[in-house]
Amino acid sequence: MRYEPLRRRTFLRGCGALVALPWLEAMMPTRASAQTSQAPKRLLSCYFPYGAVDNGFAPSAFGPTVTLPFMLSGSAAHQRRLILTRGLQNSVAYRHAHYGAAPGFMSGSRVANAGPGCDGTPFMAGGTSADIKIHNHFVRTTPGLVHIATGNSKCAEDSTNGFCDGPGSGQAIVAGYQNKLSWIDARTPASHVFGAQALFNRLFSSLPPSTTPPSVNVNAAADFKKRRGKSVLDSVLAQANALKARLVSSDRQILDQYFTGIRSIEAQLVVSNPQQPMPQPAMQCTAPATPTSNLSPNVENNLILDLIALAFVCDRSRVASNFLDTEGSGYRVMNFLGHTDNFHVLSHFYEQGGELASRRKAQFIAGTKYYADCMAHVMNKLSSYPEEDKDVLFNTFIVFGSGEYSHGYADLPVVLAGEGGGTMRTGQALNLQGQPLSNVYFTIMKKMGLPDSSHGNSTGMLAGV
Amino acid sequence: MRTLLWSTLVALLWACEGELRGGLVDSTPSQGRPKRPGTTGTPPEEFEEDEELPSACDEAIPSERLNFVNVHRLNKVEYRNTFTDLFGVDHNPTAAFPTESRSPFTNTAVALTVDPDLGVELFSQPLAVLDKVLASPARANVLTCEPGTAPAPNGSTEGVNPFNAITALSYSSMVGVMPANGSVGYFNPGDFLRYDNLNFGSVGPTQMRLEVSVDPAYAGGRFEVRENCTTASDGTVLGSLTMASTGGWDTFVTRTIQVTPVTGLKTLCIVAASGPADGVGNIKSFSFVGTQVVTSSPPASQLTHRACAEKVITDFGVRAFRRPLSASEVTQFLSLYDATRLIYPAVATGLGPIFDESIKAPLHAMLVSPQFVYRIIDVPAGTTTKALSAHELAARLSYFIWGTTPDATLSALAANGSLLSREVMVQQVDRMLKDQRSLYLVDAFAVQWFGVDKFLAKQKSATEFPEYTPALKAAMLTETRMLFQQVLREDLSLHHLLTSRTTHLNAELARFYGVTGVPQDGTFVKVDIGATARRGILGHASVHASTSDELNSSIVKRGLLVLDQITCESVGSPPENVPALPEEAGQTRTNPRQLLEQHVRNPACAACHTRIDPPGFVLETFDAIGRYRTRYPSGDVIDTRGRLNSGEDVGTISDVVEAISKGSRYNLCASRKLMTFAFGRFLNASDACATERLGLGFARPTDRFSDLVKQIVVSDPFLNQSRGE
Repeated sequence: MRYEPLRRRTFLRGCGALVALPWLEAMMPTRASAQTSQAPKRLLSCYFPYGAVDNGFAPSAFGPTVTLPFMLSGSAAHQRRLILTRGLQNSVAYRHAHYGAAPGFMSGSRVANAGPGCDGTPFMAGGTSADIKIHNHFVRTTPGLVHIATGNSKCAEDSTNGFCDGPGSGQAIVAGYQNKLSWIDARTPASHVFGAQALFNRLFSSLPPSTTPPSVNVNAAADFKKRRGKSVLDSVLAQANALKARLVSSDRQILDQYFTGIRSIEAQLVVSNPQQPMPQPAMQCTAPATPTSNLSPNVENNLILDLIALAFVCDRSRVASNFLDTEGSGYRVMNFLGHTDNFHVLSHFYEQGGELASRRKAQFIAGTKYYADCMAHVMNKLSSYPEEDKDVLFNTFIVFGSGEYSHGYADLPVVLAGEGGGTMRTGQALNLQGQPLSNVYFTIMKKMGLPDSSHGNSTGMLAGV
Repeated sequence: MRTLLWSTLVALLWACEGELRGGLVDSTPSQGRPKRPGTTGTPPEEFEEDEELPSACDEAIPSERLNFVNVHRLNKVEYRNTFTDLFGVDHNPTAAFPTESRSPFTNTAVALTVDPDLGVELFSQPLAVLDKVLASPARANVLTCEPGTAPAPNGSTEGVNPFNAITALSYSSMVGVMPANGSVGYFNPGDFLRYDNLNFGSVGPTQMRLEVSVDPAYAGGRFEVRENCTTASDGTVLGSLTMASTGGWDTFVTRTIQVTPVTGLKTLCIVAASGPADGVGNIKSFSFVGTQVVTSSPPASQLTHRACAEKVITDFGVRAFRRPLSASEVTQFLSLYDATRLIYPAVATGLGPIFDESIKAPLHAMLVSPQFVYRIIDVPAGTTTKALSAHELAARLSYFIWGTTPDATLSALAANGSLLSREVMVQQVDRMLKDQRSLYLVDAFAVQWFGVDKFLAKQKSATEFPEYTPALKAAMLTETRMLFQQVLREDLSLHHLLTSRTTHLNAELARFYGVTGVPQDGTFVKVDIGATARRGILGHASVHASTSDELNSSIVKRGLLVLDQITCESVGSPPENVPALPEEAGQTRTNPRQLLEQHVRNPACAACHTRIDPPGFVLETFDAIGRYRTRYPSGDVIDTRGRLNSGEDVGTISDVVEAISKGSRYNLCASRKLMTFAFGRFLNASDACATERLGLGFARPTDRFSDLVKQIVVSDPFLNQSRGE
């Protein structure tokens, strides 16, 4: 039998029972290098809408960071763990500032076109977002990991209707797509769980209960139901091919998506093996109290970032994509900052002269600064959890930014953080003038061990990280 | 003449959307209108009736584009309604489904994608509902028969013939035993074998033969034969065998015992009742003495379990699939039933009877089948376009007007084919619109069309608007819903939505509007509102609150509401990189209209904003929650004057309403909205002809809503389907 150090996940599962036992030698990697970590690598992407005044995230000089831009002053404690960027663009996502920005952020493509266009032309552009690719990569070897796509309770707010561009263009926009970061494929947004309560339920309510094993009789009934469920699924899938053979390819794609969807039940239909004890949740994962509803968005954003951090620590999840606000929900007034206009209005009108405009400009800056401070919050949180001889932040890649700037797609405010398990050279400012945002995600994918040779519209890996 | 005018309008509607959305914004719109793609020459600025422009119906319509949504998933409300109608009880299976986007309605096929979370729901919910339904009186809505215990039908040899030798290893289930050398052994007391589906016919046997062995050292144990058993200790004992030594474990001897006669299809158990651990005996085979006699007929209500399963599958199948099942589909579902019966555990708690648990499998499979989850229109390969079958038409009608599966009347008309007659279709439209189920259109169509419920999801400043209470919010939406209900119930024209001089208020909303004489008990009464600012839907607070943010009204959102939803003059997306406006020396203008006018000085913005803003200026007389006002909070008097794109100067809501309703755009626009909803897809150029005919038939404000619905259901795109590519 091949020797392998005990996987971290194994350890966490047993945590509850191990409290009084000495540290397990096997948990220590035999040849841990000083730089690279054996702990799992994680990716956190945080998105905020409408960019920032004068790209206030960009460094004033390149090379090792000397001074932080004002926007990022909240993260000063972690200055050496940041990579500042200037000049990233995502023009491929262009459709309309508020439609393309979020869908294009991690897919490096114009995903907002909704499959068969309004005139019925099969239309496919873009594709799977980087977070989904990375999650799928991990889940192959670590089943049970949860993909997180989330944001506060207001993030589903949808300020626009879907529309069709008229004959010939083949462009159909589906309402709500501007509020989706994660994409399974070009036409299918992943489930976005908005709200701290909903995220809590997704992450922590489905943990196997740590009760005594169920009685044999209950197992027999449960096994029967699972076997019956498997027969039903197999029967539906068996009839699929005959049906699909009669349909045109665009219709087949719709059904394929459906069959892929219902097959995700399969993991729940495995007949239990009475010899194998039910996995116990890790001690840390008997997680926090259920969040209350009707929270102010700033309170809820922090809570969501805490839940994500906990999910990383417990290895419930390795990939999280989080909206601090969506292009749709940014149409709210930030009451908690005492604002008088909604954030979207602020983003448009701040450059007009006069007293009103300067007030709006100050409010717009304060709003963006608020978002930037959320990054400081999650860095504080992740760095508070030790892992091996470092912390969880060390084993995380953070991409923090907006998919638009001044309602365009050039010079995006994007900052990177976390050492990615020692694979990222932090503490510097990069000139990435004209490079697509996909290069950032492609770089992270490669550093996380994905076999892909490109991502979206990437042109290569970032140099110097 | 009238046709020509209409065709020009239709062409221009498409032209504007196509070119403006494509970004080709004409910076001097007054100098020349955007051209229709593919046409040459400059369309004249004014419409004259003697122009020689072709009707959209004169052009060859590419028939492969008649209607191309062949695979259309039921959305949340349709799925839930369908479950309710199938089972006669609402168990809310869609509670955990994700929120659907409105593109522009929640029934738009392209937006109805399935992600893994929804996939799990679509698989799990049907079983959860079946579990509840079969355990309740509603089971009669699904189980059109109950399995009886009567003898097999005359001449039927269904099941296993127990008068022939049955090998012990062919058990349906067992507890505690192990196969050994072609027999079954290792019986502890309490262990047993179970055999399902033994057909004893109509004359029950009195003797049973068992081929057994037992070592001398283990002799003395006892087997019992029981019928209708699920555990080691239930069922009826038919007979027993005390195990005398056969000379050794490998020496099998046939013993004969007396049994109580049983008839019909039976489940039988051979139970180790007592004896030494691990060695009551081995059993190789058994049979009953006599021959199978199958002559008597069962009463009609008492089918064998398998015949009942087949009946349930056939009866439920036609309702679930909205068409009769094919013979091979029935066979597939029946074999799923058989297979499930075989794995039903002998001993388990928490399961229902074997028939219930087994029939759930094919019923579950039907409700997970794409044939149920999607409305699939099968256009055969090699065919470009086909006319819908009567069953397909029944489903299209039913989901259009009721948002649910066809009822018994529609299904019967589909089954005998008479629904294919246009007269019958039109009669059905009348019947369906009069039925309460048509109120589905209020929320699924009208509320979504104008987006009048959007305010429910918006916060409003509690300090600015203390009167904006939950009760007021509820009343605001009710007012607008009742306006459309009135159109449905009284079969009025859709013009009524714009021009109505009455509205429905309760005390709460009346106080907010400054209307007196409304009863204080909370009920809504019809109030004559005249030609005031509160006239028609544009005067409803629900509209104003939905097109505002927490504090401020939005001229642009309100203008776009009129352009996008009422006149269909959509201007499309703003161009990329909208520049922030340059700072002006000494500028002091700060009210919303002045800011916007400044914006419009940029030619890139003017092209669209000269169309968008005027109706928005008029609606500025309502604040962010729909309160009437004449001044901004700053004290500035609100200037509502403007010129509509159609040329009329307006200053009041009534001006806008009159201008729009005397023109033709609203007719065409409302027709397009309803058609978009009916088809669950964006309209395309091929729909222009159908829309044009619709607009014509709907040109008079006196035309009734039912007339419009009837025109849609007899239009080519409704009756036909293209295969697509």
